Amino acid sequence: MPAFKKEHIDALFDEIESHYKEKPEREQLHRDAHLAIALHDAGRDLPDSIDDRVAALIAKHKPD
Amino acid sequence: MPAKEVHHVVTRPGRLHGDPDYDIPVPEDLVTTPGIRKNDEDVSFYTRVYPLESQNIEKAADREWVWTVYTPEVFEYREEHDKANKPLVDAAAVSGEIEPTGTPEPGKDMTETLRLRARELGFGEVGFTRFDRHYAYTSKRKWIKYEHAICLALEQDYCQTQTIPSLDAEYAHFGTYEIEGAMALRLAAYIRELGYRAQVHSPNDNSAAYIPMFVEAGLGQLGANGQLLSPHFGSRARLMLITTDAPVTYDEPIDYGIHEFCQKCQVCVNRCPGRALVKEKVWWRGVEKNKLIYDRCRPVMATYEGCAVCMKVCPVQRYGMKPVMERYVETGEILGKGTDNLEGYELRDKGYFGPGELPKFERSFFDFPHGRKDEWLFHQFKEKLQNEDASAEDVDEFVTSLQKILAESQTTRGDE
Repeated sequence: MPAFKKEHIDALFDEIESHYKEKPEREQLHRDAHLAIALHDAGRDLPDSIDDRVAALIAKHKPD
Repeated sequence: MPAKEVHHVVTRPGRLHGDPDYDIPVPEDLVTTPGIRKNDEDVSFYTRVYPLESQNIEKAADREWVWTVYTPEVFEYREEHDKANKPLVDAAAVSGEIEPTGTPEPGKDMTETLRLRARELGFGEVGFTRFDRHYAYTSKRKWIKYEHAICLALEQDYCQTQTIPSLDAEYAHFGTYEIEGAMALRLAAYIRELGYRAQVHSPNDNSAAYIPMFVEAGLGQLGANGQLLSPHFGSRARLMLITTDAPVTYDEPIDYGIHEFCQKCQVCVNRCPGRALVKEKVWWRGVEKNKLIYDRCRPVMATYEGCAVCMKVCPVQRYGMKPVMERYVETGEILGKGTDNLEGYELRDKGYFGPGELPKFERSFFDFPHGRKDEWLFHQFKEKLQNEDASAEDVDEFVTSLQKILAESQTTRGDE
């Protein structure tokens, strides 16, 4: 499974920032996104504890 | 089937006050010792013969030099921060003299009362230990008043820290000092209300090397990056102490498995832009540790917004100790290692560096003033004499500069 490269990571976090920059959940989404990318890169399924919005962004931005 | 056998599970309080407990599995092959390996006789010997001193004194020449390599934005922000922070540092400096305002409850152990209040105020890690004078700075020894140390760590903003190295990350770094300086003064006032004395040891006017006391209080272990790795935020925290005469019970050091983990991980060592971190542990002043090479670190730190790539790329900082250890137990792998997400960083004017890529610097980039200001002045003058190009004016200038330095009072305050 190809790992997230800089362009994928930037695109994912740009999207979080564009929607949640001023929202209270922003920090938790950042935390979840970093962990989710690491688990994806390690070939693991995402646990239920990862926010659904982050899971959707992983699916959208993951490298082909 | 997991790749590793779990030796023990460390249970710590949640990241925020009120969060559920946090269980960290420590696998068999990472077990070393609670706290850190040390030889107490050697620690005592070095304290006696080569006592510690604040870097703001011992390395005053480069503390002055850094202002000449800051970007205009960092320069301006540091000035703002120092001005905003000064009242907090001033208040901490005299805090040990203030009399209690309440009456103590006879026989009551205050440990959990103080821990609870510190957590309510927002400190992420709180621990109790003896103030270990082996690690006190020479210039602070007479200032330190009370024997019990409350170790306090305040988490630094997560999102800003992931942008390291950047001005935004510096806002988080110095901003955290300002917040915790004020929080500690409030905690000290609370201790006095309970009938006891409290002395605030500012994070910007350090009285000692604080990390050994945090390790002794079980709040983390020393990482390969030379920083305290605590369970929730690794080294993404700012450390300070309060000493008190309140009766407390000391916490115990813990083996989180960090010493062996760092030896296997090595991401900070491999990613350091200045190649300042060293893979092998050495015995240094009676303690076994990965010893940072200061001369490789300081120029990068000063030039690139505090650098701190070693903090940013630490998987414990990024993901927390629990998922990192769980991953290791499950597969024997280091979460995030080798990926752009964990290891990538950008340096201003140099671009992006992904896994396996490091910036290059001219040799002269690592030339900077060393030692105390008078030592550096003398070093420069000696070079002139050796090159036989010292004029009478140079001699006069040397003497005038030396007189000026000697007339200045040394200060332990600065950008720890």
